[in-house]
Amino acid sequence: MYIAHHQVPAGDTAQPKVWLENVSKQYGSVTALQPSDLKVRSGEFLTILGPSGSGKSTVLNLIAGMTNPTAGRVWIDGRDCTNVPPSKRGLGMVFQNYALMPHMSVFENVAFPLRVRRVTEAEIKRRVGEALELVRLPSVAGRKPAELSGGQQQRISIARCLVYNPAIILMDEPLGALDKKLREEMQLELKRLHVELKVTALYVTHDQEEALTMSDRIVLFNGGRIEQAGTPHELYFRPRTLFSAKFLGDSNVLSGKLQGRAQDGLVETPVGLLRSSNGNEHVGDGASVHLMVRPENVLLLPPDNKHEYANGLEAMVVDTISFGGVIKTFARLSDGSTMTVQELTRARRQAFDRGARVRLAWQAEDMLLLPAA
Amino acid sequence: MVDRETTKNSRLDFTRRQFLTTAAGAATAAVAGPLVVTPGKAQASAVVRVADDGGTLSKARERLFFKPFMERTGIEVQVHVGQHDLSKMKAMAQTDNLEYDMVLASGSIAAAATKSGLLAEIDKSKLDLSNYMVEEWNQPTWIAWQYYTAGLTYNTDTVAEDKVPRSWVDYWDSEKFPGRRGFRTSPYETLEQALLADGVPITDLYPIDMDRAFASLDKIKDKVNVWVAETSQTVQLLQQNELDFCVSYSGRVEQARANGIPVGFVYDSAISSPTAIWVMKGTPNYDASLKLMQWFLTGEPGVAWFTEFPGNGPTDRKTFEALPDDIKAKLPSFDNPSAVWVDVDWWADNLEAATVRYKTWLLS
Amino acid sequence: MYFILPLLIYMAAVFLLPLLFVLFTSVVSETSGQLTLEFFERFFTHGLYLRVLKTTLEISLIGTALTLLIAYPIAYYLAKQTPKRRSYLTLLILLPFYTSILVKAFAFMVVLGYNGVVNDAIRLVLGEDFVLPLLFNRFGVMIGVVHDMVPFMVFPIVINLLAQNSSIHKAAEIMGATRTRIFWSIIFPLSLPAVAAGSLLVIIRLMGQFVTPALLGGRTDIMMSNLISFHIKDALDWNMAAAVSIVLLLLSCLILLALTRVRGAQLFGEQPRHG
Repeated sequence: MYIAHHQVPAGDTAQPKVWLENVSKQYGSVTALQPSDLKVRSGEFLTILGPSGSGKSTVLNLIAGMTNPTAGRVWIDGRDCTNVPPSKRGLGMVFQNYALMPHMSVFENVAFPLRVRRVTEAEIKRRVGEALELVRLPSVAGRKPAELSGGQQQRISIARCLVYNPAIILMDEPLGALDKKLREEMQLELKRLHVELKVTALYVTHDQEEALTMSDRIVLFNGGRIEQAGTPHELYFRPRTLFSAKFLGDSNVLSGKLQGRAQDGLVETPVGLLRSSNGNEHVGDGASVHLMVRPENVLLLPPDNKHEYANGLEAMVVDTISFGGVIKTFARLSDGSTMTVQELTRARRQAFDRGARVRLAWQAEDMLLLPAA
Repeated sequence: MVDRETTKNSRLDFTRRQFLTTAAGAATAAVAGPLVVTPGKAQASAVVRVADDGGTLSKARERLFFKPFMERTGIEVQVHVGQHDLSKMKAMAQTDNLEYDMVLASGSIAAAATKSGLLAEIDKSKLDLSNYMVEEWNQPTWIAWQYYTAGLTYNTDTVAEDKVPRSWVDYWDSEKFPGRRGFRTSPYETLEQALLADGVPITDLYPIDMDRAFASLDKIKDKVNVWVAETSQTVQLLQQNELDFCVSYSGRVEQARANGIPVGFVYDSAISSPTAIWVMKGTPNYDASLKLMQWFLTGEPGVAWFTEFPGNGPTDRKTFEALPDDIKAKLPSFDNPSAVWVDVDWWADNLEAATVRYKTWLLS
Repeated sequence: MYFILPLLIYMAAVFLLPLLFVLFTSVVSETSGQLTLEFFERFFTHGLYLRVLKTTLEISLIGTALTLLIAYPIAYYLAKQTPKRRSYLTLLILLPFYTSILVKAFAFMVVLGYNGVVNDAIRLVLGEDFVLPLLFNRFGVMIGVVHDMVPFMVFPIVINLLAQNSSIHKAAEIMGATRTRIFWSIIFPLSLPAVAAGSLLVIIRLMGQFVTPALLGGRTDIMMSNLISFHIKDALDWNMAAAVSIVLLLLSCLILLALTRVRGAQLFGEQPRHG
C-alpha cells in the first residue's frame, strides 16, 4: 500500500479555502452532522473518509450549497457563503456518475461553465483545448459522452471542472463506478493533476486505500462527527481510536487493563503482559484499554527463538494464505483469539505448517494504546 | 369453446323452431286472413327483434307498444337498442347475419336502404291500411307510422312574440328579425328552408334546385352564429342563451317546454318527415314482424303515445281523430297548404351529392 | 419468439384484415367490381376533400402545439412534487378522460359561452355590448381538443423528467448555471424524445377527432373523420369512405415517420457503453 508523504503546502495560518465553522445539520430529529469545525487549506488534497451514513455526504452538500446548515457558517475563500446558492459559490464538482450532459459533445460539455460565464468563443476554444490536453484526451472533443469509456468520461468531467478554475474541486466518490485497475490508474492521474495544477481538492470516499494513496490530509468521519483528522501517515500509524485503527488498514486488537501509569504502557491481557511505548491522552491511569498492532509489524519466529522485542506471545499456526506479494499467517493465541501476521513473500522465507508452534513478536513502539469504547 | 358450441346448437335449434313456428303462423294467417292483431297461442314462441335508437323515447315505446303487444299476441319482442344506421344494415346483409328483423327510424334511411336492396317487400295483403292517410308514405318496402317536424325554434325569453320569424323568408331577414341564428350542418331540411326562403312554392320544392338553394343560403351564411352538428344541441343552445333562434324538432321542443325550458316552435311552414317502420330482407320472423308493424300503424297505444309526446303525428286517420284537440292543434295537418312534406326518395337519391356540396359550401 | 405468436394472430385478425378490407374497398368499386382509382381521383380533384384535409392538418398541428404549451409546465410542476402529491394531482389531470364530450361541451358553454363566466366578467368591466366569441369557432375547437389531449402529453413528459439524472442538473448548478439556463440547455433538450412521443400520440389522435370540433367548432371546422363517418353511415358510399380513410392513414404514417426521425436524432448516440 502506498501512503502519501506530501508536504502540506500551507500552514494553519493561511486563509483556508473552505472553512466549516462549527457547522451542524439536523434533518428533523435525525442528526446528520454534529457540530464540527473543518478547514480545507489552499492547494491541499483533503479526503473526507468514512462509512456510509457517517456524515461525509452532508459535509459535501453543505460546502456545495445543496443544503443549509442548521447551525454554524460556511466560508469559501474568506467569504461567508452560508446562504449563497450553489451556482454562486464558484465551486467545481465531479460526480460518481460523471454527470456529463448526454446531448452535448465533449467540447460543449467542457465549454458549458465558460459559456455560463460568457467567455468569448476564441477563449472558450483555447481553454477547452487546454483542459482536454490536461486530462490527456485532446482528440475526443467532437464525440458524445456515451461514445467514451467510463474512465474517459470521468476525465472529461474533471476537465470540465479544471477549465474554469473553481476555488475548490469537490469530488464525490468519483472513481466508485470504475473497475479496480482503472481506479488505480485514475488515482495516479488525479494525483498528478493535483500536483501539477496545485488545485484545492476535497475528495469524498469510503475507500480507505484511495484516501491513503492520494490525500494530503484525511478527515475520518464516524456517526456524524469527525473521528480523527491528520495526514495519512498519522491516521495509519497513530490512530487515536479503535474505530480509526480498524477503518484504516488491517489491525490486531487485544483488550486489557493498564498496570500503573498510562505513560509506562504496561498492560495486563488474558494472554500475558504487553508493552506499549505510545501514550494516549485519552487513556487514564489504570484504565481498561485496547491494544493494536498492525499485522505487518508482527514477526513470526520459531517458538524457542530468543529475541529482543518488547512483546512476545506463544501461538499456533491456524492457516496461511498467500496474496502474491504478501503472505498472511493466522495464529491462535493461548486464549483462543487469533492474530494476523503479514510478511513480504520471499523465496527463502521460513515456512510454518498448519499446527506449528510459533512465537509472535513486536516492538513496544508498534503497539498502540487506545481507549476502550 | 364450450360456450360457442352451446350457442351454435341452440341457434340451430332456434332456427329450426323458428322455421316451424313461422310455417305454423303462416298457415294460421292464411286461414284467419289479414287485418287485425289477434290473440294467438300458436305464436307463443314467436319472436320479433326490433332495432330502436335508445333513449327516453325507446323506453316509452317499450312501455306503450312492445309490452302490450307481447301480452296481446304472445309474440316476444326483443329490442336492440343502439345505432342502426345504414352501414350496420349493409354489413349485416353482407355477412348474412341479421341481428334484428325490424327497424323504427327515419324514412330517409328507409328509402336509402331500399335503394341498396336491404329491405323486404311488405305483403300489404296482410296489413289493414284502410285508414292510412299519406299514400306517398305507403311504400313497397316501408311505411311511415308517424311523422316528425323540423321548424324554427326560438328562445321565448330573449325574443319578443312580434319579433319571431313566422316563415323561412322571415328567418332569412336578419334586419327585420335580429337575433343570433343557428343552422344545421346537414343539408337535409336545410335546402328546403333555403328554397322556401327564396320564394319557391311548397308544391314546386322537388326536385330540389340545388343551385337556387345554395344561392339562397349564400345570403344568410355570414349571419349564422352557430352551425349545429348534434340535434341534442339545438334546444340546449337556446336554453343556454347561446342563440335566439335555431332549427329543431317539434317533439323535442314540446318536451323541453313541458320541462319548463323557455322555447317556442313555429309550426307554420315547418318541414315534416316520416318515421318509417320496415322489415329486413331475409328475416326469419316475417309474419310476426308484420303483426308488430300493424300494431304501430293502427294499434290502440297510438293515442296514448301521441298524447304523451306531442309534436309527432300519426299517419292513421282513426288514431288522429281520437287525439285530444290541443294535441291535434300542434300537428301540421295534411290539409294545411303551409305544411311541407319531405320527399324522402329525392333525398335517398341525392343525399351524398347534396351533403358533399353542402360541406364544400360550408368550408368556402 | 413464439410467445408473440398469439399476439400476431390477434393483430392480423383485428387489425390487418380489416385494414386490407379498407384498402380493397378504396380501389375496387362496389357497383362495378372493377379495380379503379376513381375514389382517390375524386378525393384529389373535388375541392371538399382537400379543404377538409387542410382543416384537419391545421387543427391537428395547432392543437398539438397548444397542448404541448399547456402540458409541459403541468408536467414540469408534477415532476417537482412529492410522489404522494403527484398521484393526487395525476387524478385531476385524468379527469377529462372520465368526462363525456357532450357534458364537456355543455360545461364549456357555462364558462365560455355568450352568458358564460368569462363573458359576464367582460361585460361587467367593458359594458353590455362586449362579447368575446370563445365558442363555435376555431378558438372553441382548440379549447376542446387541448382539454382532451393534455393527459396524453403530460404523462410521457413527466416520466422523462422524473427519469432525468438529477446530478446533471446539480452539476450545471454548481458550474454556475441559472435555473433558466439549466432548463433550456439541459432539461428541455433531454426531454425532447418525450415531447416527440407525446406530440405523436396527440397529433395522431387529433387527426382522427371529429366530435369535439363538431360540437365546439364553427362552420369550417370539418374534419376528415366527419367525412368518413358521413360516407359510411349516411351515404353508404364505402368506396369513398375507404379512400378518405387510406389518405388519412397514409398521412398519419408520414407524421409518425417524421416524428420518429426527430426522436432518432435525439437518441444522443447512446450506444452500449464500453469501458
